[in-house]
Formats: sequence, C-alpha cells, structure tokens
Amino acid sequence: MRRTKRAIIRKSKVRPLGPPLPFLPAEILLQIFEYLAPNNTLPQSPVHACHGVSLERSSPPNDYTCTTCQTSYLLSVSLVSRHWHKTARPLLYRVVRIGYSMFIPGDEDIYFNCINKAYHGKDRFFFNVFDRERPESRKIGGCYAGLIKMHEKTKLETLDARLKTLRLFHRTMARSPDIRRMVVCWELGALFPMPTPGWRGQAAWLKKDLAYRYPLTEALENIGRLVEETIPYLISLRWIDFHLDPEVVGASAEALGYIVKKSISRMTWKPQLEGCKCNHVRIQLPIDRTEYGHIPSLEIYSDFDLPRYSPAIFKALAIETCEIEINRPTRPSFGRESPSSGGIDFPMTTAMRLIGAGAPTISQVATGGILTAITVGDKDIRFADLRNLLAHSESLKHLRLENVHVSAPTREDIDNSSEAIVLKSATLKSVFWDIVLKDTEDVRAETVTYYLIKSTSEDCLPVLETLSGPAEKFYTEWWLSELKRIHPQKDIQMRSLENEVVVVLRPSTKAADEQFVLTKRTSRSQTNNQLFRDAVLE
Amino acid sequence: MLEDVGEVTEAIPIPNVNENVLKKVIEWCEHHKGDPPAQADDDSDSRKKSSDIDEWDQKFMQVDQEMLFEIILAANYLDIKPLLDVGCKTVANMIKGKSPEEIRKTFNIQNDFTPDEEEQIRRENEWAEDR
Repeated sequence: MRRTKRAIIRKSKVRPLGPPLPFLPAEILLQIFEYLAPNNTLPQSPVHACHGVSLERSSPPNDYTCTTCQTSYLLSVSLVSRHWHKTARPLLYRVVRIGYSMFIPGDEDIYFNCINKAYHGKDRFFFNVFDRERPESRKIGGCYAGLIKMHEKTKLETLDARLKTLRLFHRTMARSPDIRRMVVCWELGALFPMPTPGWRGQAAWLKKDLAYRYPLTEALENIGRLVEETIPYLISLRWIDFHLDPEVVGASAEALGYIVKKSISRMTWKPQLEGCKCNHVRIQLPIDRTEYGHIPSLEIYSDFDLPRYSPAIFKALAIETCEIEINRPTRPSFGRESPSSGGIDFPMTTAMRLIGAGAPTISQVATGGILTAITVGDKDIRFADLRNLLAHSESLKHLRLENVHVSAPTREDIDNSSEAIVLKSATLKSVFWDIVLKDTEDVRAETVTYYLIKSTSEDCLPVLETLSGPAEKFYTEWWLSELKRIHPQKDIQMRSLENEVVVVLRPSTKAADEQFVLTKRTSRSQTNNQLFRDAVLE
Repeated sequence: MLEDVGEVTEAIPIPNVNENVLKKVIEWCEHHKGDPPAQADDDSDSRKKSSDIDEWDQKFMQVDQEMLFEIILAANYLDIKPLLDVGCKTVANMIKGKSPEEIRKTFNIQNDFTPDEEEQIRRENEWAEDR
C-alpha cells in the first residue's frame, strides 16, 4: 500500500518534458545499445587499461576500451525506463567484466642509488613514504623491502576491490535466476600480481619476492573460491576469460595455474608458458554441466600470434591438456599392436572424454615450426581437449592415440549424437584411437579406427563391445587373440547378445592337462639331473 | 522493398514515412549512391564503434530529435541499413556519458519506474557500478 502511494506521488511530480518523441521499437533500441555495450568478442590487444593508465601497444590509443565506462553506459540506459531496461539488461549481462587491469597509477620503476643515497623514480610519493618508514636503513635491501611493502599494499587494495565486486556479483547471481541465463561471457580481468622488473633469475631477491607475493595469495584464494562458487549459478555461461598481466609473462603462469586450479574444480592445469607471450586464457564452458564435464577446454591467446598461435604456446597447451587427471587409477592395459584398419569412418563426437593410463608420453613432430603430428601414448586425455588441439593445428596430418581410456558419454551426449549409437550398449571404459587426418580439397576428414572394451565390475575382466559395420569381425578376431594370449590356461567362449558380445573365460581342461604334463616333465628332468650329478661325484 | 514488390508501374505508397523525412532519406541516398556495398565482415566490425561517422553524415544528422528518430524509423522501414546504422550511432553518441536522468531529459522519456523498482535495479547492478 505504501509502495503504491509513493509511486503515485512520484508520478504526479513528473513534469512533461516536451512533445513526445517517436517510440523506438525494441529492435532499434537494441541496435543503439549495441554501440554502448562492451565488445563481446576477444580483445585483439592486451588487457586494456583505463582511468589514466595505458599499456604499450601498437594500435592507436583511441582503440582502448574502457570497459567500466562502457558498462556504465548500459547501466544508465537500463535505468531510464522499463522499455529501455528490458532491452538493455541482456546486453549488460552478455559480457560480465569483474575488475580491470592491475596496473595502477604510480606503479613505476623506483630504485635506490647507493652512492648518493638518493631515491630515483617518477613518483615522489614513494620516496616520502620510504623516508618516513625506514629512516634507519638507507641501504638497498631495506629500501627494496619498503618498496615491496608499498606494492603489496596497492596490489592488495586492488584485489580487495575486485573481491568486493565479485561478492556483489555473486550475491546478484544467487538471487536472480533470470540474470543467470543472461551471462554469456565472464571476464575476470588481470588477476595476477606483477613482480618488480628484473625480479626473475636473481637469487638474492627470491626471498623478498616470495615475501612480496605471499600476502597476495590470500586475496587470490578468496577470489578463486568466489569464482568457484559463482560458476554454478551462471547456467548460460559459455566461457570465462582470465586476463594475464602482459608484463609478466612467465611469472603469470604460476599465478594462473594457482587461480585456475582454485577456480575450476578437479582441474590440475599447470601451464608451462615460460617464455610465451601470453595474456589471455579462455576457458570454455560448460563446466560441471555433465557427469564428465569437469575439465574445461582451454584456449590461450597471445599478443604476438593472434590469430595464429606460436608453436611454443601450442606445445605447452598440448602437454598440459594431456596431463589432466594423469593420476587417476586405471585398469590394467594390454600391450598390443593395433590391427590395421579396414578404413572405418567414424565421425568423432564430443561426447567422449579420454581417460588414459600409464606413463606420460607425448611427442610432437614439428616441421619448420609447424606442428604436423602428435602422438599420445598411455595418456590421460580428454576428448574435448583433443579436439581443441586439432582445431588449432591446421597442419596436423596425423594423430595417434594408444592406450587411452574413454569414459561413457552421458545420456544427453548420446541422444545428441546420431553417430554414437554404438556407445549406447554399455558403459564404455576404454577406447583406442588411430586417427588419420586428411586434407582433401580444403575439407578436413577424420578417419578413425577404434576399438572398444568394456570391463566387468567383478574382476576387471575385459568384455568385448560389438561394433557395427566392418569393424566387428576384424575387432572380434583381434580381441580373441588378445584374450588367448593373456589367459592361455583358459577356454574362451563368446556369446553374442543383442548389441554386445560377452566373452566368458573358463578353466581349460586341455590347458590344465598341458600344465600337469609340463610340471611332471620338469620334475622328472630335475630328478634325472640329480642322479647324473650324484653319479659324477661318485 | 522493390525486390519484394516486383516490377510495378504504379506508385508505391510508403505510409509510415512523411514527406520531410522521405526527402531527408533521399538526400542521404543521393549522397551515398556511389558508396561500395558494405560487406558482412565490415558490418560486424563497424557495429562495434559508434565514433566512426563520417563528417557529411554527422552534419546530416544534425536535426531535431523528432526528425532524427523519424529518419531511424524510416531507414528501418525502408531497410536502408547504412542509414539506420548512422542514426543509431548518432543516438548512441548522444547517450554516452549521461546519467539516467540526463538521458530522460535529452530524449523526453518519462521515468515509469517506481522508486522501489529503480532501487532494485540499482542494487542488482551494484557490482558493475562499484568498479
């Protein structure tokens, strides 16, 4: 009741502002607002800096995007009227950016001259603080510590501000189911601390550097936790962008690994990006949408190589994606020779995740700096990551995977894939791939030979999955030979069911007889040898 | 539109566009008749920036707001996409940097939010304001 009264009072106070303008329909308003919205595509340049601070880059300064300002435009229009709000709000949440560059005013080089005992730098503020805080130790170490302390403080303030923003965002998400569906991209800004220039490789500074970094970890951990808690709310989120500090190439990898690990459950990605100019990591979603969808696929964007990635980054990505979940307990795998294929065409589906076993090995054959082949053996690898690698390597001609395991696709995956009918029969545990990629008239075809194995729950006895088409006979024969090799003392029977073949192993009477004869012969031989030795001694 | 109608000898009525607006539209078309057709890629790129309006277009769009909106509506109705883009960019530039109240005043829009609704929207977007 009170609300209605207030509304009436307010409406009565609205003055007519002049003749009404023509009513713009939603589609035109949307087009106008598009020009006010932050760009939802990937930035073509390093993390943009705003509010008086700019980064070095080759493009003209008027290309800088002040995301805060752009968001504020949309915020303003969404508060104009109900009609405008309805149109602007989806745009506002299309790309959600939490925070901006870690670069802050006054964050510049500063050093102490031991000869004349003077500070040098651009910002007098620091000098005054040092003079006040450390009057007793005017030597380089003391000054350095003081400098670090200042950096810590400013960085922490930035991180705390970001944390506050994240908390607000998390609260909004938790309360607004309609907004959750609108968030498509989430950019988390430059999350990582920037060490002082020249810190790397100087052992004497290492301890101080750790001291510099340590206080930040708590704030980073809080951010990571909040990110992890917020992700499940964002049901329409298609990707998350982590921006790295472009000034800190190698050092960012550690922080990136930390934050990503903290942020994304079950993700053990440790980027080996040393020496790579990398500023942007995009994690594609969904995460946790399916039973096996915990590990997101990764894309790394570089300053220098957009839109093509440097081999170094690609290599790092390949290695890391293949190291995911390497420690997962696995079933015994068989040494084998892959039988030659009969040319079975099998469109790969993204429904599969390869979970491997054994020692990590991955080799890449690069010709002239271009990756042409990948061999993965005894590896844990996720199928989506594999596809990611393939998509980014146009020159790849051959990919061979051996001793890798695949988990069962989800019901949704199966329903969405007409080509995955063969996988419907049972829980799929293992798959062996031999993939040949062909370039024919600019059309990439993927020829895949595959072998499927299902394990029983009782004793890890492998059971054959049937394949439709020409692979069935071929694979059945190979699989029987494998079983006979592994279990020579048993008889093998095969029973064909509706859509799978069950292999039953029974103790072989013939094998038992052979074993008995063999044992007897050995015993007799040993007796003869003893008699001969006794005779010689005598 | 002509493609939709096919070959006709009679006049085509344009009920949604008045004479003054149509004159302006024709003026714009006359000036831009030699422009190369926009490609799909260019279009997606140019949509991102509202500042790239050429000088002639900027002067052309210096009309009262009613006329500006009418031109936009006419361009939409007649499916003249480049003119629609110019019009939308012009309006976007008019919005930039303004508070909600200033926008309302500029475009003579009545605030139909209740105070509670407005407060709720502000609270909802607090995370974005606070950066």
